[in-house]
Amino acid sequence: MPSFLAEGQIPPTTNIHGSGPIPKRSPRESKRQSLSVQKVDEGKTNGVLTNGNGTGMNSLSNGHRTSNEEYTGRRSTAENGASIEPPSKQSSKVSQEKDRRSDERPSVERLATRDDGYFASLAAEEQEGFFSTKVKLKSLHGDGASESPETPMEASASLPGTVTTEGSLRIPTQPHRVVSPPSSQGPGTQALINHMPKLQHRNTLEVPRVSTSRLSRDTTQSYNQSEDVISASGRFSPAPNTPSRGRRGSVTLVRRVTRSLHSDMHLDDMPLDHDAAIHAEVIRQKRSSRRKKREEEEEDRVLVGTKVDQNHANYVMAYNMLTGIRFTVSRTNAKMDRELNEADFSAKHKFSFDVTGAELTPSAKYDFKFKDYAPWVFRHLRAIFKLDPADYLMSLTSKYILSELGSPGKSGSFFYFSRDYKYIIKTIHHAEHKVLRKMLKDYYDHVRENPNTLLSQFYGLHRVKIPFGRKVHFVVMNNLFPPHRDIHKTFDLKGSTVGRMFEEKNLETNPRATLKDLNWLSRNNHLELGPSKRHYFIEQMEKDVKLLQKLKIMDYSLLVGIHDLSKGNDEQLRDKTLKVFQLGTDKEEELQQPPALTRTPSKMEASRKAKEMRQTLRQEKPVPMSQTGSKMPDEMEDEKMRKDHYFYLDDGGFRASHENDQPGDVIYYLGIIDCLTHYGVVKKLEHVWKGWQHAESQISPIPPERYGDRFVRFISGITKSAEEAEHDAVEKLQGHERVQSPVDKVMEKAERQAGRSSQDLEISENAAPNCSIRTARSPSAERGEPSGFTLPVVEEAVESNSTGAGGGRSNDHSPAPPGESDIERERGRSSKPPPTPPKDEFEGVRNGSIRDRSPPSSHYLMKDSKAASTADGPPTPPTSERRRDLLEGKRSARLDVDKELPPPPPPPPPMAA
Amino acid sequence: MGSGISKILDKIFGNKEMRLLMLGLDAAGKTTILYNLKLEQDVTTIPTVGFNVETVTYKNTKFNVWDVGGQDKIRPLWRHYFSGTQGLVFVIDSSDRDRLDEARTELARIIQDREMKDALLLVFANKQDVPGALRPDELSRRLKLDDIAKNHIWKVEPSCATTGEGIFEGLAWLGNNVKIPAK
Repeated sequence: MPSFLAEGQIPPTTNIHGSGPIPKRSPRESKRQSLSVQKVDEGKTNGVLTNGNGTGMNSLSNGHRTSNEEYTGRRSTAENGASIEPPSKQSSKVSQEKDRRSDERPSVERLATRDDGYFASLAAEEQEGFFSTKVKLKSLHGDGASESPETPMEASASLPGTVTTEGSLRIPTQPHRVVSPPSSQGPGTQALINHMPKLQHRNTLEVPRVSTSRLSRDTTQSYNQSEDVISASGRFSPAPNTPSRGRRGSVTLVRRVTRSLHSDMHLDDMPLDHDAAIHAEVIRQKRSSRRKKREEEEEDRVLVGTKVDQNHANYVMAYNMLTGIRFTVSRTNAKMDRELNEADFSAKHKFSFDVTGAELTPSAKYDFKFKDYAPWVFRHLRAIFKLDPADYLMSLTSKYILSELGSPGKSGSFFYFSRDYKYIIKTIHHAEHKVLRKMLKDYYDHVRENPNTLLSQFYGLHRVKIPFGRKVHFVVMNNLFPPHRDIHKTFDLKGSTVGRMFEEKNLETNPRATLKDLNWLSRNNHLELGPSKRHYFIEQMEKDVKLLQKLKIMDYSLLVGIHDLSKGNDEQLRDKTLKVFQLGTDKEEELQQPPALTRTPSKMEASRKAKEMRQTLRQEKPVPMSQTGSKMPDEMEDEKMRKDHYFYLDDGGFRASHENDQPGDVIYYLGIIDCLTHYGVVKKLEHVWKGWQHAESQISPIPPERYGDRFVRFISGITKSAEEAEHDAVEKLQGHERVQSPVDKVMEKAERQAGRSSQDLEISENAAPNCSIRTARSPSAERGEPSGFTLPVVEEAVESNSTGAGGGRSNDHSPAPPGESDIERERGRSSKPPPTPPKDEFEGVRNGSIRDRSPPSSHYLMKDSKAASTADGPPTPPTSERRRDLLEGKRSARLDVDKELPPPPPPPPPMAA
Repeated sequence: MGSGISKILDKIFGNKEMRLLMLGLDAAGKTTILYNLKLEQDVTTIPTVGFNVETVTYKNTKFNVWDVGGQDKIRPLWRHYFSGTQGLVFVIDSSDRDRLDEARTELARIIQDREMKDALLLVFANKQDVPGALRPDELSRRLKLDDIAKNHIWKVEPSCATTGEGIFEGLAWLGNNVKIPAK
């Protein structure tokens, strides 16, 4: 620590010589600075200095090599610094230089030891001490100020007293030194000298060493050497503390003198050089190894999420999973392919892994048991899904790296992504695993007939068990979302409304959250698919749902990821949202993540990127490099992947299209997920329980048949091209004109069907529209969210299905209870709000919700229906429309209130009628 | 228990167990060699994505042979089979002179792995029946075995997987040179 004190003194000197501004440096810094300064002088220090901290390292290494040549360089630097340092009368410039050289090496070493930017600042100080270059000082300022929290030294430095200290330090050196210490120093140094003898004893660890060297050496360059000593001391006692500074100032002075003596000469001597060389070598090695490590890490990076590596709590689990997968998949894949037989579907193989490895299992790091279900079936499934076996193996298991998705989902499942984001490993419950095994045959047949199925693609079903641990089942599935595209919004749609709202206000904190049905409706979203795509999509969905109905499966949902092409990947959502996924990793990791995402581009990618670049250039639209060099891959990495899957054709997804089937500007990533819930006892109970609280049509646990119907109805209801949606909205406003464009024909059919079934449902299930409205309110709606547009899903579905026909038709069909038409119309209207962006309306809603809660519900209903019927809406919402929206908002707000309050007298529910 | 007894019996009768890992570039003949060992007949094989494992007993030694696919894409998976391996069988297509360098690189990478440092190295100069195939001495020179395998006991054995020629000789050499691990 005494050494630090000395350093502390140095800075003042620098201040004196150079610009006053050099602020506070921590004692350490100052030391380092001094060290670095020397180097800087020898090497081309100027540049280094100006750069400040960052360049410090370079300067060090340079300094080492260049030390011999540096005289000139040094001088020049000194000159630069010039104002201060006319090398006054130093007869022995050479000697100084020598000293410096000697100093340099040690300093280099020391510097190397510290990675940070301290060097530059340190260097500056030293120079000042010796050469007193202002330039260096300046560079130092910034660094020093930011770095050293310990300001006391600064203050002292600025004070005259500090000056004196400097002087004292330099004095001993002056006679020999080439560099001119400022004249002011003289007296100060003397004073210091006086102090010194007393203080010397105090010197700690460093002193002995230093002193010996000094003794042997000359006193000429006391300063430089002293600095060296200081640095050495820094190594030993790396904790420089400001508090000590004040006290030790005097002590340090003393020490310095001693150090200065030994420093120069010794450095020249062999021992020091050796030391330095060794140190430098060590440092170099460290650095290179660090670099290597970094490169390795680069390779080991995961694209998204928390990397599960050795430090992760679930590492053992991940390791076991991957080892098991590698083993079982490899084992099956190596065999000649063959036809499946019945036994394959129920086959299961058990393996136990241990450290030594058994006859037929390789050794593994941990003991665990692994069970593989129906390996041949899944092998065939992978083939049907066009997975390359080698790719599959490599993506998943070549390294023990997975990324974990934040927290277990609602179901308690853990999600892991393969490094390349292509596959998901999801832990499932025992019951789910049983469902999957039971449905495997049907699933297999279905997939074979419908290779474009929207259902989750299962690639493997396994179980892992750690000794004394529980059995964990897991499946490997496709990841619907692409690694190369930002998903701007995610929706999970079921067709029910109870609890199907993600609170929008939480969206800010978690922009990547999965939104639900009510959010979808409140945004007035549609799956904007043109006729042909829509037809295909709905057809496939119906087929898939039919299978699920047959298997008595429910509670599945349509996962919709939306990539907005106009936004592209600019927002770097995938990069940014990493934090969202971070689970208990340290901050540092997090900070490093964005670079972590960088992948060394493959050759193909590189060439593609080049092509892109060329194209961009051709279009004369210069793009900053930062934008083109994206962190996540922007191109489909594996072109083979999903090539043959109709719904994953467009860049891994399903691109929206317009009425004329022209491609739209968003890409959907669609799939039916969570399709492993059997309608069993639990769900039945849930059904009873929830059904007791809410209308059955609004809750998600309902018998599979109806669940499927409702699902299809809802999804097909929200599937329409943008034009269509707009059109419908207009229509609704203008009355019930029917559009008979060819495009609509297909739709109408579906609508009619859906409409009919919905009515059946309503009747049979006693789902009073009113009730539904009420129940549809989710807590968030009560908060003044734009709930005006969030209508019960079922009704929404009906409406949208019957778009053209509107309420009128439904009236025709249904033995509608009195008032139903009104309700329906109203529903229709609300479900299709004017095409205007709902922004303002939201405002209105909010206000409304806050202010008006008084009007009786019947009142608002009437209002609404009136509005609906009288609506004359130009496509763009004029004020009147907005007004209506406002009203609606109010109404919805009121409804929210209603939910909490005793239910308002609703319009007569059909059942009651 | 049972395995314990059998191990004791093995010791009494001088039976040994040996874990072999068979690697090499794709289409070198690994799987063919394996099944020739196992079945003593030529079988039709497909490119191995993954591995085959068979146990062969030959002259008191039970060989547990792992044949791991060698397509370049899945070579990174090789290392997962290293641990516990007592002998590396590296199979080379002696007639494929163009890829000798590639083979050498891969071989060097394998045997320089820490987990393979004690393994015996048997190189099968396979496909000797093909005209123009490199002879074993030439092959070992081209592979620079003296250099890359200087810390290993190694041997180059000419072989022809389809006829089984040389294969059991190779095994015998491995069986004779394996160190019985201290148990």
